[in-house]
Amino acid sequence: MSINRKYFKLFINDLFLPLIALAFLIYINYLHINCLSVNDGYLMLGKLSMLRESLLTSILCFAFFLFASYYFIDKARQDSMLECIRATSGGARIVYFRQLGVLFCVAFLFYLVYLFYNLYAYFAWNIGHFEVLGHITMCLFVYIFLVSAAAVLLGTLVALFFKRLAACLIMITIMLLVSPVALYLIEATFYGYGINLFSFYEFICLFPRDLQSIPLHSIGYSLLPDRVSAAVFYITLFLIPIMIKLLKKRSVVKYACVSLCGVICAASLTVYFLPGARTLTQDNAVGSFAVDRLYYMDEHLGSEKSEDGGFSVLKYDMELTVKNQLSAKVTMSVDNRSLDSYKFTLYHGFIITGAENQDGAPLEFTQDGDYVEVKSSGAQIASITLYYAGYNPTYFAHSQGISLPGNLPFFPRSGYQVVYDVDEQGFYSNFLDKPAEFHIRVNYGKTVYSNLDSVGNNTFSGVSDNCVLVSGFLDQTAVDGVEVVYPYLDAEQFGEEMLKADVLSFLKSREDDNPIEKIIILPYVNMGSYARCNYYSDGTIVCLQLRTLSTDYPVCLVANEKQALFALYNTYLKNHSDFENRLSIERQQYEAYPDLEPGLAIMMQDAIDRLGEDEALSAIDSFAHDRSDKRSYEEFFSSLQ
Amino acid sequence: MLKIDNLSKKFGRKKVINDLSITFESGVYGLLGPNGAGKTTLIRCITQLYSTDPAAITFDGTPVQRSDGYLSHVGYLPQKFGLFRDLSVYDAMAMLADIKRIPRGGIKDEIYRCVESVNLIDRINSKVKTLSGGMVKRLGIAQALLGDPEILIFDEPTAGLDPEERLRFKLIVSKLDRSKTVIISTHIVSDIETTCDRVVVLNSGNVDFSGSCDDLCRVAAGKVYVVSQEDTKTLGGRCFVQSQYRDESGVMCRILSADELSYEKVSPTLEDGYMCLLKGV
Amino acid sequence: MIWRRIALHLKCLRFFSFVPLIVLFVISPLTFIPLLNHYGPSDALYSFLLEYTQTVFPFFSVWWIIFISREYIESDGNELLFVFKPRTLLREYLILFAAYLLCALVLYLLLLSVFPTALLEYFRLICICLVYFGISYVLMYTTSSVPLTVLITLAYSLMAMAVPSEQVNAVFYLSLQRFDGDILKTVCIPQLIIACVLIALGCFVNKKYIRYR
Repeated sequence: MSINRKYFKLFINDLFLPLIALAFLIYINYLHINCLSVNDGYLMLGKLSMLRESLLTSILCFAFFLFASYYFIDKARQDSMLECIRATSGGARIVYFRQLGVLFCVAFLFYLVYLFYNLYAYFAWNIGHFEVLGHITMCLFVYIFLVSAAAVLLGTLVALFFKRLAACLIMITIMLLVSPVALYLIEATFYGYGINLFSFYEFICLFPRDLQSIPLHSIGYSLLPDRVSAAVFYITLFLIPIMIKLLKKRSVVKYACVSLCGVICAASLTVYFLPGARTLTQDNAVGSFAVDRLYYMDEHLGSEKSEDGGFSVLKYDMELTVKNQLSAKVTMSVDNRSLDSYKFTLYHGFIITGAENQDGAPLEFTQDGDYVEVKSSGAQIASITLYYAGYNPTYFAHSQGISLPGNLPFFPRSGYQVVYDVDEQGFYSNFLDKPAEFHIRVNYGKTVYSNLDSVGNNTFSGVSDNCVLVSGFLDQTAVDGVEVVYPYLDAEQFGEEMLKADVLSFLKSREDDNPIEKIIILPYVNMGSYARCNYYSDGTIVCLQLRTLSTDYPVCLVANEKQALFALYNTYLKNHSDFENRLSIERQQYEAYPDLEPGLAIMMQDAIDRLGEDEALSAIDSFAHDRSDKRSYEEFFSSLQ
Repeated sequence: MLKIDNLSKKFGRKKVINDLSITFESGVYGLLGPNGAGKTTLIRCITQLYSTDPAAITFDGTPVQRSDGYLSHVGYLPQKFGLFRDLSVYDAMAMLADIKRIPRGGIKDEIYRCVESVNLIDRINSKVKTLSGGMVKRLGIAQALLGDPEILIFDEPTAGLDPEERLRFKLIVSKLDRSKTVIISTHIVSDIETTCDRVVVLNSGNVDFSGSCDDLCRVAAGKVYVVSQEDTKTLGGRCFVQSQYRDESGVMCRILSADELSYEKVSPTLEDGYMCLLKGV
Repeated sequence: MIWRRIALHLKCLRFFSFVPLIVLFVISPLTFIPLLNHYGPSDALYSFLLEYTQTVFPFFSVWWIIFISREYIESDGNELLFVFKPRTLLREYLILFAAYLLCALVLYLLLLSVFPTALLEYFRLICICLVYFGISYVLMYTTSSVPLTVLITLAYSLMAMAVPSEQVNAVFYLSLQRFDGDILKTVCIPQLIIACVLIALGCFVNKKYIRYR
């Protein structure tokens, strides 16, 4: 019998290890079969349900392999025969490495079981896109196999270097540190003592995050470099002391292996800390989704500016490259050539590295938060080219996908604008004052979609008052002449029949006559009400859901600063008693404090009393929808005579 | 007096002890037998770790199952002993004294008495894990002595010990009160020679011999020869080579044979008698 | 006598005997108080309390039990410990288990000032801990291994936390719903029954332990 089969027999003959492994396998099978039957015909959590179900058990795989490998290796260590084996030319390393081999094989077997169910779901649920198959396979490889491998090596390390009680305590501590329980401790540490350990938790927790929430269907689960490199880092880190202990002293092989592991370890650590997009997580109070809120509400509150730049950008020529972040070269043709300085708004996460004029001569610039000022130094400026790179944590541009809506100033806008609404905790829907010409080329491996017309090879051209770029697990279809770009994995919302019905229902419900050429669905991230729906001048709707489009769309046609008035207008029309209540409250307040400005409901009622209901409401509706009308409410209502 | 009557014990289909009857009175008994003879099983039956027929084992006429205080009369040292390694010697003894239900008032004195009797008093505050193998065995003996039990059972007490420790063990046993029943289970015959009054030889769950050491020696009387190594080749299967040694004549073999041989007969030792029984000479 | 034995068992564990106390009296308050200051006595805090106490507390309720059994199931010469009666450690286990629950009660009594239903949640905790008690009791004397017992108990905890079940029941017990009649009927009472069965099974396995080794 070959030596490898002997070690498999050792594993199987143990009685408990294979029993527990079998019990675990049965549990995995139960979960997956249950997922198949629950989702039969109606994929509630989308076509990634099976993958989600698999990834939920990633932490259990880690726990199983950690303790199982400790137990298996410790058994050999306790074996009195091992002393005589150590005296042989192979030494104890043969025993341990063969045992490691058995454990890795078991881990791979588990991986195959997971893969089987996911492949079954892939075909049964008609996912159809090959890229998703690759995504599923890689996700399982990283979060099941690599995690299990790391656990095997960690268990081995603990068995080789620590005594039983200490080993148990270490393993339990590690398990609790990487489990969701640790997040409570980290939150408490942060809120109570101001110590930020969220990054540390993200570094040690190899498991997929936010599995309790619906995933971002356009990108699936994170396979960003930070996740993969973290797993590789830990695997090589654990391998190093194991090899030092087990390999023959002073051998070339030992030095070579240890050095190689060391290099890979260092490289993965470097990759982990590279700047760029990172895995989105909801439970990080200072990172990820919270970054913008903290920046605008805590650190830079009151630093927003609003200033007319004195020029308009007529044309944008953009060359964008997306890897782990966005790198851009944007050339802007301006109409006013004789300004001393040109003011732009660009999201602060994009750091400008250079500025040039139309002749390629460098221009002086300053970047203060979201505000950029480029000095002309007295020369005539026909165009300005800015070079910048960076990222926004929420509106991502990375190897898995792109979600760059026009809300985020990811390309420079003329003048200084208030970018973020601290009340809504989201980016304003800022549009260009006048539609501009766009030529955009995106260097990216996947198909990119935009509101602009595609001329092939991820190149876009068109005229619009804003620009959106999306990419990932997206598909494009046409419904009643309207192009719809949607995440096809979200079968619950965007199944073929549902999508068609929702689009037709929306088109039928419209009361305006704006042209609708395209609808682009963004990944659902909670970034305030402005992100729900936006209408671009080229006839593109950019929204989060189709289901609520009928109610979101009319609201999005209203300018940011007039949302309150439009909401009150709708209340007047649809829920008059609520309007009456509000009016009564405002009148009482005004009687009590006559020095205060009259409330919006009072001004609206006065206008209605003066002009009549129809005329007043019509004027309010027109004012609300006119983005170019920058008057305040008081100025508007005063003008209604 | 510990009496065993028709004791049988099987695990599954395998009969480990086969209708065994033996009486242990006061004195030191050596329980000899090869591996798998049933020595440890017998000991575990005596200590009631294994359940037995109610009447199979009696102590002073009372079946041990019905005797509530029987186990307080038993002191047992298992084959491997390594308990409570993180406690001090004193604390480990206190734990075991507590388990043995030794009255609280006398525990301290009892512990000191037992530890002193095994010459571990200078290490009484040391942790068990810091003791050498021999010292741990001595600690095991000390805990067996707790409560001054009438029956002392030592399972392979000298396994893994160096000659000095083995000698020390023999001295400890020799100092024990002769009114106790001491059972030493071993397959090292030389341990029995100097310490035991009587020997019981077990083989395949049966008692092959029960008697004094001299009686066991006599089993091999007239069957022990000394021949040269070359001569053993001519004898073939008619003999069993007991041991070899070198003297001025060369390599000599001590053989056992039931046949009358023309070689030099020598006086049998305990080991000769034991091997005769085992090999059926 | 039994108190001395328990004291010596815990002394044998050295630092590890303090772990449940550190979890209860150091880590838990240090976690809870800042979150209370941040979230206030809100639903969010209540949810945290439920999740934390239903996963962390039960696991540590069997800490002492598992680790004092180490000598009985893994040490050389452990058969000696089974010679003398009583041969099961059930009394020691129950005392240590009760001690842990008493310590946890102190925390819950303090929590009463924040959440009036804290004592009902304490009852829920007792039921869950009893199931863990039963599970670890059976496992210790079945697997004869402390690491495997810890693995399975910990895995059960993690499973409850990381793999939520659509329907809460006695086995998949983690629920963020406040204690009510429904929880009592579907979770607590079945858990008490399961715990009794498991503890009885554990006693049986404990007694059988030395028989056929």
